[in-house]
Amino acid sequence: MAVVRLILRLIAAVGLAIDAGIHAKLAPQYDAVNASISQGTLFRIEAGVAALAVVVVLAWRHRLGDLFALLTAAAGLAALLVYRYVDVGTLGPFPNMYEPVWFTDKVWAVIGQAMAAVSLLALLPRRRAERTRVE
Amino acid sequence: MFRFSRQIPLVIGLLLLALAGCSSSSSTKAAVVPSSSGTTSSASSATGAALITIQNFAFHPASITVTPGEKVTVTNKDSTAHTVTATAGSAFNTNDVNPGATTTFTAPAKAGSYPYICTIHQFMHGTLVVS
Repeated sequence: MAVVRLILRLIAAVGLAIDAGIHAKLAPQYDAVNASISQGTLFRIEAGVAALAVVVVLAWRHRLGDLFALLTAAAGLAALLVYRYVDVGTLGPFPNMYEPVWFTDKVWAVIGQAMAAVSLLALLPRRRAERTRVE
Repeated sequence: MFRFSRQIPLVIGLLLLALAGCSSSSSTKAAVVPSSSGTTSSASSATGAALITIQNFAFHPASITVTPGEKVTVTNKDSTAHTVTATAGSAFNTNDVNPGATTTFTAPAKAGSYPYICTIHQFMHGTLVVS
């Protein structure tokens, strides 16, 4: 079981690293999509948080850290899919990030976020089950 | 609580991999960003080579003058798809121009000023002047 957990952790880390890399790469271009805060800035935040999640998932290996990483991946994935299919418009300080098109980098971001979310979802209940067994 | 010793090389490796991808793309892009933001620039195609470049979510030049029926080449240097679509009627429309791709459209035969947008990112504006 330890090996399975390690593999899940590695998959999550690779997915989060892809997420971080793609968002950091695209951020300068998306500075043009601007309201009070630019889409480029939001991409940099996503990249930074995802990079932190890589460290947390691999090094800390704590349930709270896994939950943080899961929220990072799931929130990023949800935002990407919503803005792909729904014209939300400007929302408070956020610009209108509606972009009804798929392109290579966006597909890779989805793959990375989905990899991370699915593997972390599988990892979290396992830890809970183990704790119950120990008790 | 922390188990850093075995994971440090792996963490560093993954982060370097992610950063390497970013830095290479950033440096490439920085070398070709036009000095003008494209908001007020204009150009005419006296040589017959009308060219619209899309970069950083802007049309370059923002306004271009062409002759009636002239072929206009559109190059997309962004990482996402864009279109060049006339706002009035169906004077011209490139449909999706994929990242890195080039396409052409024919300018209207009738003289006039034709504002256009990217239908995917509708804050992007340009003007095609036919004279």
